[in-house]
Amino acid sequence: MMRATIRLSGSSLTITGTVDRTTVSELHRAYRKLGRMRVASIDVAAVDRIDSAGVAFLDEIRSGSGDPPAIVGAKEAVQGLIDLLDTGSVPARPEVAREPWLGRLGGVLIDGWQAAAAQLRLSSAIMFWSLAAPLDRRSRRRGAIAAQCRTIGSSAVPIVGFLSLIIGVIVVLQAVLQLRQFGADIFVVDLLALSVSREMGPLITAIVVAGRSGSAIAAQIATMKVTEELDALTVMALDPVRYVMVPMLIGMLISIPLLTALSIMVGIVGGMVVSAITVGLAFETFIARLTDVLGFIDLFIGIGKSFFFGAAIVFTACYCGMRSHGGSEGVGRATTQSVVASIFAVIALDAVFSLFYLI
Amino acid sequence: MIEPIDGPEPEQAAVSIHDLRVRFGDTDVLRGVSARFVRGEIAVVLGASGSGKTTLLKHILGLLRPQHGRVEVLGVELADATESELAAVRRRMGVLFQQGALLNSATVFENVRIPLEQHALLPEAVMDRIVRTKLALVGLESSEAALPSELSGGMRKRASLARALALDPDLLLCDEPSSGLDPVTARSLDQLLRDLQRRLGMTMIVISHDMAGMRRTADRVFFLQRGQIVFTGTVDEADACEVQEVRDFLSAAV
Repeated sequence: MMRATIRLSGSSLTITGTVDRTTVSELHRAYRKLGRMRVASIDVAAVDRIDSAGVAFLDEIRSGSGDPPAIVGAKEAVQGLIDLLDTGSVPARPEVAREPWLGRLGGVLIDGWQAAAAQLRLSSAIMFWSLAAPLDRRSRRRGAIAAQCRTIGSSAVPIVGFLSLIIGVIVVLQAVLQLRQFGADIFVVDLLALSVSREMGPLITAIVVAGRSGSAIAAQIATMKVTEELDALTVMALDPVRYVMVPMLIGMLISIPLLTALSIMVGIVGGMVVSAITVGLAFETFIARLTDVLGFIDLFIGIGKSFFFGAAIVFTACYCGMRSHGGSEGVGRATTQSVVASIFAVIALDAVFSLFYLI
Repeated sequence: MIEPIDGPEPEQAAVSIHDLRVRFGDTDVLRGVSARFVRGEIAVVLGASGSGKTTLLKHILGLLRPQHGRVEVLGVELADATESELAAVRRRMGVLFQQGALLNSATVFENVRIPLEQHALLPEAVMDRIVRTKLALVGLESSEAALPSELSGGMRKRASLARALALDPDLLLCDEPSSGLDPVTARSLDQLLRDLQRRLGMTMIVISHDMAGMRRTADRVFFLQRGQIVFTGTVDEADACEVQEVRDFLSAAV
């Protein structure tokens, strides 16, 4: 026996039984099978139980015909629910008019322009107050810069050192395979020294720092934004840029060149050990060649670049943090964005620097 | 021959708790709580912060299993219920969380639609209609496309109520429904809860320390004090009650 039925007699639709979420699906199919017809009234006298799904189903039937049929014969309890849950009066989802493509393109361009302007404004403010920092000691917490150096610099030493060691080893292993064919083993020193000091060292360090510290900075600022801490600072007449972000930039500009120097050193040492093992290059020979090849200019380029990488990471992270909105979800989004954008910025900057070598 | 599947069970209690004892580390959170929440009633559990209200709620929801004692919800004993039995009970419960607990990545509309999609086999159009009805009930029909993060606290709470009501629950649990709401919104929410409970015949358990809300909604009041129920009765009985803690609590709100 069916728990619910639907049938058409004349222009009256009769529904019986239990009309709830377990039977509506079935009723809906049966109703569709009846085909297109004009329904003048829906007789629900034999409906004993109805729930929201049932009421929604009745409304679905009623909205299907131009002139909504009346519901007749409902028991008191059923009528009460129908009155309470009547969806007839609920407006359907409003159609949002789509803008023409030119408008959308313009919107994208304007948004992009505004974002770039906001990014520049924030970066220049951080830059300005960092330059003014020696004259402006009172507007930040004592020890804030040291704390940043510790989190950005000291605590990154193991990972940067280890990665650089591996990179040095890889470079030598790859180079030796090729150079050996020409009996040019000694040139492994040239290759290692130049690639590690000019490219690998600064780049690996910047990517590690972007992942570790850029994300931490973005998360911290986004959290402070979401929990209204930045507003609290502002109403205490403390500038968040000077109080929070300037120590981050200064800490970064102190830490990242040191980390880069470490990375170059460890990379070369790693390479030296591996070349001693693989091609039997004595340490004395290696070091003699190294001092010939590696000029001050290479270290200057490598370490000099890292300042720009560090600044780009801080600017990107601060901007992503400041732009975050929407609770804890927003913090996560800001952090992800910051890592992606700052790694992109680092690599793009590196490409720009490479162009300078051509000159 | 029609048999409502969700019809009343033989016994009268929707939730019955017997000698529930809970200890976290060195702290006794619940010290032998026994209570019967009668079907079709609004029960308000009152108590100061730290009296064990939330712990009690978590036991009724089956988020915590009883360490000692019994918790029976809609005819199922939770202490030794399997995961699938627990899931079946949970499909018949709706919960209004204190902060709303909406899924942040989905719109309000999708949030209310989730339980329907997962637990009911219904035509799409009918599901959409149910969602709109529930949103209209709580007065959020114009915010259906918004993300939870774009809503105010009160709106988030109402959206959460719409989600809790999506499957027409037999048992609705509300954790501090009016906390963080302005008095006007709080009153309209209470009114709505009362109205829905009457029409849908739901059982409601409200955890609260809002006296005004309690007076507006409660059929029965449970007073929890340091892990024990020190008073059970109607609102009038509570007013006439001689228990010192209850008197303090009620007079503090005047």
